[in-house]
Amino acid sequence: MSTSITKEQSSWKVIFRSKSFMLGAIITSIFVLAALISFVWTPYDTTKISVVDRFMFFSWDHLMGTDQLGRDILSMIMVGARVSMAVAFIAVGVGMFVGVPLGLYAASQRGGLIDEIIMRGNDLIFAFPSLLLAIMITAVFGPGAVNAIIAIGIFNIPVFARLSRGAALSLWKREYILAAQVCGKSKARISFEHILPNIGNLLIVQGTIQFSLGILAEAGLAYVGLGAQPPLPSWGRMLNEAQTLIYTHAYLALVPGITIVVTVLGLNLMGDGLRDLLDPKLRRIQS
Amino acid sequence: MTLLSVQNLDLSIHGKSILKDISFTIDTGQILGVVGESGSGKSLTALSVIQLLPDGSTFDGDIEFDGIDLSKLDESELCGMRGNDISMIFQEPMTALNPVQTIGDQVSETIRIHTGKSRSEAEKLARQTLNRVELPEDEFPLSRYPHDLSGGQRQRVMIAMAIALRPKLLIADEPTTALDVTTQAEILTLLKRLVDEDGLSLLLITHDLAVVAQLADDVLVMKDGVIVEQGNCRHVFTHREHPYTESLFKASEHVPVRKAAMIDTRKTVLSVRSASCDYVLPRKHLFAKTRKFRAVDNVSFDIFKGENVGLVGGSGCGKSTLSRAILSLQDLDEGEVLLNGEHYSSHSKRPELTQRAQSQIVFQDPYSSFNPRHKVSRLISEPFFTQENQPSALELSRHLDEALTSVGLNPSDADKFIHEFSGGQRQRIAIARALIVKPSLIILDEAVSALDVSIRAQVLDLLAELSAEFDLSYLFISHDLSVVRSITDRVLVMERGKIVETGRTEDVFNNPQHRYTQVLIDAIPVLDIGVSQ
Repeated sequence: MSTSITKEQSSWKVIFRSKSFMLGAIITSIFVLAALISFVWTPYDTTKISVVDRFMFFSWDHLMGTDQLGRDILSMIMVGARVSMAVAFIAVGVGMFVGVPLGLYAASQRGGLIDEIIMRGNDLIFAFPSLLLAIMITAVFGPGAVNAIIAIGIFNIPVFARLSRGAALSLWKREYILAAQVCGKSKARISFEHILPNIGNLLIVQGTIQFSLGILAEAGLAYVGLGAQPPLPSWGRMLNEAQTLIYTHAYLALVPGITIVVTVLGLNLMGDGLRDLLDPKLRRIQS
Repeated sequence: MTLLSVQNLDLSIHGKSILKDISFTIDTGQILGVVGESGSGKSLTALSVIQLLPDGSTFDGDIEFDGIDLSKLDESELCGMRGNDISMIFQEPMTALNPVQTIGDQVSETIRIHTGKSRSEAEKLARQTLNRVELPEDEFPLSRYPHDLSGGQRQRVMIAMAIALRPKLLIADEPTTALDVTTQAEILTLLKRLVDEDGLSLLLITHDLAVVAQLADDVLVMKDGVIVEQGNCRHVFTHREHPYTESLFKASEHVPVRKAAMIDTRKTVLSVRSASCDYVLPRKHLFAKTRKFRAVDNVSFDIFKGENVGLVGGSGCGKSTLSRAILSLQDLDEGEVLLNGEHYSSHSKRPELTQRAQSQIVFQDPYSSFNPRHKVSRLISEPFFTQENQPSALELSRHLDEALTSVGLNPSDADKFIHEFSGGQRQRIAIARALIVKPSLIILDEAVSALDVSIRAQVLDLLAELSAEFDLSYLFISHDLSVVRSITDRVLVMERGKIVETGRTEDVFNNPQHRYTQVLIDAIPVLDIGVSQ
């Protein structure tokens, strides 16, 4: 039938028509690009301290000015983007990698003791505010980017476990799952072969949104001094250092603050846009 | 007197023409049946009358209701009319009621919106209406919630909501399709009574010719958005001037040609021995003992090689639980199942992987039976998982070709995705999936219930052919007794988890012994009686 082709075309059209998705995707790609460029080139060395150049306002030499130690803020933002994104990305990966199999396993054992143990364990993690949990973990293991990843990752586990369990439960009632059971496939095998591909959409969307929350959490940890340690620049610590100077040099706080807001907004827009694009129910209304 | 007159109605949705030149009238107190297969535009005709069309539809023509041109009314005037002068009931009673409101609130809500009556007055009227649809006060107080009503009772609540304000026109869109035969007969009697009592006009949409023949005065036969034949029901159904009407009748009465049954009573394919299944009911309170509901109660029967056995019964009688227990998708609590003389499953033992190939299943819903992300080749080769030696790529493609050809599809279909197929084709693919490992038993769980009559006739033919060709045994589970009658050799009647009657199909249908079997068979809407009245 010809409908498959037209559906394919229309979904591309829908992508370009979806303004929120396009805006979010553009913002996100700018920051990803900045983070990638920072590996090979930054306008100035972020570790170079030059007291002569301190507190310079925006100029062609320093597009975003310099801080109290004379470091170029644009360079710090670029390297900070790298740190924030890496921490958030790996943390979401950890959350997915642990959470999704847990959720799928719980769904396959629905109503059993194991299901109960997994989900109540998730509730326990969920019961703590994410930042508090992260502070607890970094307080035990010490500050640093790796421990921030672990902390944010653990917070992401129950999000993915619940999401995948809920979605998988409704799929377990489908008849193609029963047909696979008639063929003697084990529950674990069915979970990966039939259920995982069918909840992929949901996971991608949730992953994007968790990614933005991860950036926020990383900034929060760095702000209280538990994230990436100096001399590695980080958005959260830039905010912290600007705090005492906010009345004299407001731009020192505004630049990293606005950066965080725009990044999170961009990712959220992209996540929402993706959800609309990937949800077949919504797409049917649009097309 | 003409109540509703539709003239030259054209409807297109997003530029695609759906209805073409539809004209009909309904008189006061008349029942107009609309029949046709899925996609024929039956439901959209009804939705045009009530002006609840989907977004993007453009519409042309005159709809005059009780002297008012409906297309000239604005939305608020239409809202005043819907539920008041025109109401509608839908197919699926399970989802048409709000689960968090009591039935009393839902019926009285309609009354209060349209009449501005006080709560107590509205509730009084709601009570009267519920009594009229035979939901008596002592058993069904207004405070009951939809979830503890059965499908038929919910449909009665829906009808009560629709008729509470004594509308002039009631639109019923497949009102009994989701119900089993006995409930269907009760609901149809109720609708007929309400039409007689209130002088109500009824627009009855259904795919079931027998229902229309029993109830309707006039009939419209629709195909692809066009009325192909209309007029007095008896006249249309006896003369069948249009070839499409004739073909609908042929398909409804279709009995697949079956070669002389090659039943080998020495070889037992399936043997179920005193099987029982329990469901654990939720506790009343934390320390209460768990209670159990016995869904399948001490059931024993055999199926021989090449035999087609029907399993019939109302909804909730345990048919599906039994079929799942046979396939070990669900644990048996007592008893055992033997397949080809070997122990297959019991409470403590699950079947060996290689045994799984011996029995396969075809489900009711062709839309949820397949993983939408896999190609047909992968879908139908899934049962090979049960075999010790996986076939080579060459063998596999030979098996695929063979299976697809034997169900009347093209070998090149293997590279397509499932969404490229229609409902009937999907059901053929489901049969191909069951056939590919050459099982000795296929369980058909309502396998043709979701299909249109003409497609159903083709699939039944296919099943009969395959059974003869491969000496297959079927366990044919259905609530549609006429289908069971046409394809099975022997029939089991199930009520409340027990098998109450068993015997040769013709014997059971001609001379039912058990009270429940008699009720079931009496409830089948019969096409001939309707026509000859």
